[in-house]
Amino acid sequence: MRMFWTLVGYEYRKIFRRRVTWAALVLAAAFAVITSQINLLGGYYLDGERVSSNRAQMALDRSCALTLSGRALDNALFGEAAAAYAAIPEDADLYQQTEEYKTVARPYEEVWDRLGFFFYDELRDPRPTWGDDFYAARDAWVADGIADMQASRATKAALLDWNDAITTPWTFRWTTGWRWLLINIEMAGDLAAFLGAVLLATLFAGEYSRGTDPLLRSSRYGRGRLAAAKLFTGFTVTALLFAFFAALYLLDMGLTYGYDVGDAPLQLLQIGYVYPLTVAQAAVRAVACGLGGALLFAAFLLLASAALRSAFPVVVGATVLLLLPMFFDFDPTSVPLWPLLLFNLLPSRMMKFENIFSPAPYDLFGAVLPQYVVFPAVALVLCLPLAALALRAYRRHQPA
Amino acid sequence: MEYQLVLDRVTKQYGPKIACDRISLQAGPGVYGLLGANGAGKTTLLRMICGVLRPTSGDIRFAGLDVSSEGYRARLGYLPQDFGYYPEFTALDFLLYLAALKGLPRAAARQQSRDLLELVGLTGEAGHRIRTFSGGMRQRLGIAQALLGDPQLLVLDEPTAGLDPKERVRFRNLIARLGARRTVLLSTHIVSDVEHIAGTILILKSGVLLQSGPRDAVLQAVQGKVWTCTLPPAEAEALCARYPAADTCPAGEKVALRLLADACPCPGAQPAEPTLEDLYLYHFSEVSEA
Repeated sequence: MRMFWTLVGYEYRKIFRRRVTWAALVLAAAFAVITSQINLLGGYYLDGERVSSNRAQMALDRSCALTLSGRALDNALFGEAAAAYAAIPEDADLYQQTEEYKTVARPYEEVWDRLGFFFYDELRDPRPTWGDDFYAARDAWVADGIADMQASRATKAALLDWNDAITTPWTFRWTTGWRWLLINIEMAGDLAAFLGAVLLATLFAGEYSRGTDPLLRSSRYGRGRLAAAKLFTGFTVTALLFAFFAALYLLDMGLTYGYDVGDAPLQLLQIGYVYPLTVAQAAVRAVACGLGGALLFAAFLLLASAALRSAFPVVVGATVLLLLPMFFDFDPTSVPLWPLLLFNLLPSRMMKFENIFSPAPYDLFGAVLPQYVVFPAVALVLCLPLAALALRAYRRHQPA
Repeated sequence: MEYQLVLDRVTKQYGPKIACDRISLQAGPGVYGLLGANGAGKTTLLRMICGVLRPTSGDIRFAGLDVSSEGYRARLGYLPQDFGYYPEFTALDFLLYLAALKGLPRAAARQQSRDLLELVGLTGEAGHRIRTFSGGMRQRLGIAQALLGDPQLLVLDEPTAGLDPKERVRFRNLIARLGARRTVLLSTHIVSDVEHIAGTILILKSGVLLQSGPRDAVLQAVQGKVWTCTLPPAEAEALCARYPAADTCPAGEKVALRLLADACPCPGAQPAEPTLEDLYLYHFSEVSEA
């Protein structure tokens, strides 16, 4: 066993002693931080005139939302928001320029924005039952969407059950930080996968192209233990990369947007989602899916590295596997479900926020499971045979 | 216990091309020099003996262990032709890594690595990265790693490539010492590397083991076929076109020749004692193939 860890240590050394490894890590970290700030760059314009910066607007949104944080999104709060919105003159050209908006309605914008999803044209009506009406409208809208899905009866029934389990009234929180964290967990997975491809493609293929393979293969542990050490290294490096980028985004989003208490419902991030999760629970599950996707990608990468003769085609193939599926987006309520569900088992799709929580669960012979359960489970299950195939490919490799 | 390398009708085929054709061999302790031209199948054969290539058919065993077993590889030391290395590793790192792959305990690995670096004259470079090494230094490092674990079967493919004459002599002396107690299989183009140290010569041509035996026995193939003579340049040139020339050198206004011919090639030619180089030329020259 000690020998195994010694061999793992040498594999780590081969990767992390290269200067290109550290250069790539620094570049990727810089990329992560810079791209996370892009949407806060620039100005906020009204009628062609710059009135503020995006960052200042975000800070204002946050301070307004925090004044309402912890309150129930019930008849009372929705009623206040509707009344605040009704204070804005109806004939205003740009409501954001009115004093009424700035002094009265602004603090409630996040609330009447959600109310307006169903009742935009009716917001000015005084109604004591805004909360009840909102939840009823949402339930009806969700039920209609589910009824129209090309999915099994069991799937539709499960979706409705999950939706019914959502606690109402919802708790209002400042969720922008959580939203961006959940979106960037996908980026953390993508960066871990892409960087993993650069660092790990040479794990097996590098030995072939470098000419060290005959030396390794002729040594006592050069087939069994060494191959196992390489696989272990591949998976753990991927996991560490994911952890690094996830932690970086956690810190980055916290410093940029701040995190409110994580007990807000997932539905504050996306009104049509039916899973009864809080944003904090969703974040944990998103991390599990992101990690699963990254590890599954690593498994494909290791197999390619063991089977091909040099690292270049491994990197090219891995990049295609990672990027190509990202170019396709499907609404689960408007396409046949099973092809989409299979497509979503690809590594880069497993990491995507929308794919993890949209109403597209898996009906496995009557047992309907949400994606955030299926994705990590499938990833771990598929990693095993892929790793076994990689082992086999390495053992059967013959130098040219 | 005497360990013996046994090859039983070992064949390697790539599609229609047969790289090694039913090679059988029994090799106990001693030095075995494997001679052959480029493309003869030497490296293919050695790779199969080291378990790097899978034979198409046939068996390879050492000390009764099959080539595919861990126990076989535990007794093996191998220096491949053009072996790869890790540029960012130091010489000591490289040896320690290979020692780990050979299953050596850490303390023994460290001691052996330092001893072997001293043996090959790389003690001062132990902490230097391999990417700073010259070709000869890398080759010496390769020899050192092959000796890790005191292997009973040592396979060396072109081990003196890149070594200067002093290092080659040092290496030959080392191999001669090692061959006393272990089976050393040495493949080379440089006939002088094996002429004085190999107890058994193996001649490989087009994948076929043509001859195998002690030096004097294999030289019987060219006994009476080596001739020396001294001729004017024009006549010397004409003879060289007809017969393989093992050596030509100026002798005043004439040219001294050493030729291979079944019969006396010209008046005045004297028979000479054959050497291994003559044998190599006999088997691998274009005239002999014709």
